[in-house]
Amino acid sequence: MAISNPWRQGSLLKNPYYRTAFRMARVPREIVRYRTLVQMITQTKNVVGRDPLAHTIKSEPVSETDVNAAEQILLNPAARMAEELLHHATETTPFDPLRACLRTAAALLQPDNQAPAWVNYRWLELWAGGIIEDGLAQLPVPPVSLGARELALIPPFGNREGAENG
Amino acid sequence: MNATRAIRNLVRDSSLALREAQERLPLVGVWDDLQERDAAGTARGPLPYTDAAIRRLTEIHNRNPDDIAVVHHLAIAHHARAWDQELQGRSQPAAREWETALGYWRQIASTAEFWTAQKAKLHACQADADAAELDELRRNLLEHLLTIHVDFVRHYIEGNQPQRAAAHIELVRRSRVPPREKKRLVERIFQAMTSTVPNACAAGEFRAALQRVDSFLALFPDHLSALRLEVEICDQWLGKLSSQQQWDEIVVLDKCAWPPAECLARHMELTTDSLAVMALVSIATKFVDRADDQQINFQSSIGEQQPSPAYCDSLMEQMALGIRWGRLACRHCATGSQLPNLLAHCLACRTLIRLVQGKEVMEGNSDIRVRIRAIDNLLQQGESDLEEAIRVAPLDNMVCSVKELQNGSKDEINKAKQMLSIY
Repeated sequence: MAISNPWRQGSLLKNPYYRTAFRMARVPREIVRYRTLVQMITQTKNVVGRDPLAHTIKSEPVSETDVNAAEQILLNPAARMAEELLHHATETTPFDPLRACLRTAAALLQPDNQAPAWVNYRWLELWAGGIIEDGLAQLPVPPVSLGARELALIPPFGNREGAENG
Repeated sequence: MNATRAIRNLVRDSSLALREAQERLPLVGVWDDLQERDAAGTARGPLPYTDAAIRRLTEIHNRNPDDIAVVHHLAIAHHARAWDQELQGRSQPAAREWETALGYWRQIASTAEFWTAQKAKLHACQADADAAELDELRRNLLEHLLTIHVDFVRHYIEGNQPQRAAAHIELVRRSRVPPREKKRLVERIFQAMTSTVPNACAAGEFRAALQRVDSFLALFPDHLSALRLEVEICDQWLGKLSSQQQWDEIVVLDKCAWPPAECLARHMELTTDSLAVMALVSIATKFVDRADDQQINFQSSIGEQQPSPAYCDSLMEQMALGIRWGRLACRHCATGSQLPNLLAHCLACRTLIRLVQGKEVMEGNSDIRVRIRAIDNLLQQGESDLEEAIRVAPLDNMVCSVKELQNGSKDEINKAKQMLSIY
């Protein structure tokens, strides 16, 4: 069956970009696993079920009916892909590859790394800190995309205790 | 791996990771700009656009125009802003925004990388999902987007705001989509712009109905269905007019109906649309029929008294109108149609009028040679009309009668010429 026009599902006099299925169900566009989708949609249903004003978009409440309609779209892979055209991809912090480098560097700092004695690996610590600081300086405040995980440096560069808990 | 190589790899990987981080980091700022926040400043989810986000995205896009993820952000943001501006009644900025957004969407439709990623995601959602649906979505993307403008056209036409509809028609007209898709879209614009025509016609508001079609034809002058509709409206209108009491209105209507009918008659695709052929023949038959009514009166009055020159002149004009319409559609009419006979009547009537005019010349006081030359001229013109009448309706009684009269007059004039040559 052909995917219907995602821009013409509702009234012409309502901008379809505000109340996308993703936004109404509070599901990031990146979630693809069926179980996770269902869990997140159920959570949203519970939230709006408990308090009809708990979830609003541009001050307009999202009702259970809205969430049900969003669910229909999100659980239908083809319809969901069409809906993706209307919703921004989540832009996450681009630190994961750097974090991997930090882990490698951390391993090199271990006493049994067989590195030559004349190598001072402490520069890695300064370098990593500099990268994060530079990155953060470019961001608006408060950076919503950066949570505690993104802002914490892995040991040995950052807080050992926090990282271990994480 | 020895430590030196490990450090070398680390530096290389870090350099790449750093570059990627530097490239992607501004998008985190965009994401932040897009957030809808509550009174406490807590993010509630992304809005489709904010002016700040569009500014930042444009800067990023200028640095790397091929980053399709950025293009998609821009397509969403500009399209959503266009929609808002449209609904706020800000037509001019909206038109610019629509155009800009369509440019980004066009880039998305033509970028395989975007759709490959979407297909991978589709299969991540459902391993056995049919990717053909995404191919179809990609193929139809621009048509889906332009459908929005067709719907705005309908909305504004129904709301009697043709100027606002015009901006959307322009977007569709200028859009770079394959001809078949554009034809489909234009067809839908036509349906939207003329949706009120049947009601207007039913209420006898033919002028208003014609205006609707005219405004469409001004943009798409060769649109076969529009030409046909215009001719059909005129045909309906003409059906309400009496040739005896409303000839002046028939003349006015002729001026409206002739241009579209003429376009229709020479339209390359006329023969592919049997309804258009029917419409053309129908209106032509009515016009010729109205003219034919006039000649019936003329014939019946001819024995009673000599028709006045003014009457003859006006009748000539009426016959010219009928002949013009008859000639336009005669070759398209089906066997058994009355159009050829009606055309032949008008042609024969014009010959008859010329015979009457000849008689009047003959009774004049000018030099006999001048009079004979004038009559000769009239007879020649009549001969040409009669030949055509015989060609289209060889067995028609009226044509045969007028032919006899014409021949009689020719004999008389030949005798007169001989007499003159003797003296």
